Amino acid sequence: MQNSEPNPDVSSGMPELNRFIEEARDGNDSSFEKLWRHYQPKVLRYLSMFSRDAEDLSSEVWIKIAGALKNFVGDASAFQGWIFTIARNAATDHSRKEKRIGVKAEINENDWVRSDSSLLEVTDLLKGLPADQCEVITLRIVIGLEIEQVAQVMGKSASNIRVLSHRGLTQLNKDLVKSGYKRGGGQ
Amino acid sequence: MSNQFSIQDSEDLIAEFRNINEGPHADLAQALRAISVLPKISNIAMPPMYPSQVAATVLPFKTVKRFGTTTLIVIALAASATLGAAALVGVPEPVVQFAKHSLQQVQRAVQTITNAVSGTKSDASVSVIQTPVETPAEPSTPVAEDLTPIAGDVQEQKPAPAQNQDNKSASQESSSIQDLPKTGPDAAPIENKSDSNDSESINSPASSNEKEQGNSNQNESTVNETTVNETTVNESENKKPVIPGVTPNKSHENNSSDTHSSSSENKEGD
Repeated sequence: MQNSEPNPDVSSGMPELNRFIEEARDGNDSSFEKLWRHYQPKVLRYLSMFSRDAEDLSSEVWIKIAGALKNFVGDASAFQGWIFTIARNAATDHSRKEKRIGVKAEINENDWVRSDSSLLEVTDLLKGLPADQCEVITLRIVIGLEIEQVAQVMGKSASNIRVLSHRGLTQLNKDLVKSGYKRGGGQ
Repeated sequence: MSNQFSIQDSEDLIAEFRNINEGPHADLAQALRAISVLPKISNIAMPPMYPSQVAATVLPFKTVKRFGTTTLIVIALAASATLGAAALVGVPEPVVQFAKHSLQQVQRAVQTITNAVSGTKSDASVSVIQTPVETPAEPSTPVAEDLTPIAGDVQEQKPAPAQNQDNKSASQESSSIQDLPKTGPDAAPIENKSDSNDSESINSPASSNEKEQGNSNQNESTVNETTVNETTVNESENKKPVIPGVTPNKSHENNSSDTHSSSSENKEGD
């Protein structure tokens, strides 16, 4: 996980993903590994926005996925929403546990975030947004979910997701101007 | 960079941020491209668990869950029996109290179950035991019989001043614990006196503390007397020559009873 790669198009390889999901549901470990390779970067990226233990948390998420995959019904699009619902629940549980224990909310960036100063700067600004706006932007832009999928994961209406996206982007735009962020700056 | 844009502008930006390189939202699009970069996982890394492994590990948990209640009951019974046996040997006060408490819980559980099964008819064993328990005592018969020698031995092993306090606390805790030593086969010599105490406690459950203290003192004296008698009987049975100043080979119980009897004698002398 030292290097980074651009976000692949979500719709690419859909039939293949559907086949992998079906085979993994039937107990095919190789197909499950392919699914893991496809979705793990997104899960890791999503969890890193809310927890400093993103890698440990993602392992928990995949163990839950492996345990519940037999009962999953749907295609690759639904599978992606299902995965991030599990990830969101795991992150919520984890943050509650940290609050109970008294762990500081300070998030340590992973190496792959630190390696890119531009990414680090924008990620900091994104984390400075209200939690629901940050989550909406992460799910829509970083992960690439559709509005309906985001609404399903977060348990909100589609119009609410649109409003949250707009507010988040507006605030992010203001923060970028304040911080003097320039195109290609820091890279 | 324009700070104000509509919801539709936001949606357009989200849809096309990868291709926007110019215009008022070019910097924001660039920032979104930066955060949309995903980490690359290494080829060595593997999923934490495969579905086949999950199926293999979930099965035992289901089995344990299925028989969980039975297992817990068995463990509780075994633990209480172990503690009871430990009380026979001689263990600290809190452990004995815990043993009593746990056995009481088991007694109540068995009582509830048997009440539900067989009703509340009195049994012959109940009249033999005569435990002044508030609830019907018939189902608790086997447990009460098991309890009897434990509590009796524990009282014998305690020193005299502490025994008073223990009797007080036991009488305050519950009547079943208070009367348990009186029903056992090992406690036959003190059965008559303790029966009278039983009848008192049954007739007047809210007796005064002074009465209880008096009863406990009576119990204490009878216990000490019986222990002295037991030691003499044991010595006579062994028929070994007793050399003055040399302690004969006795069991742990005999030693403890000797100390109790001597302490009680000293107390009487005072």
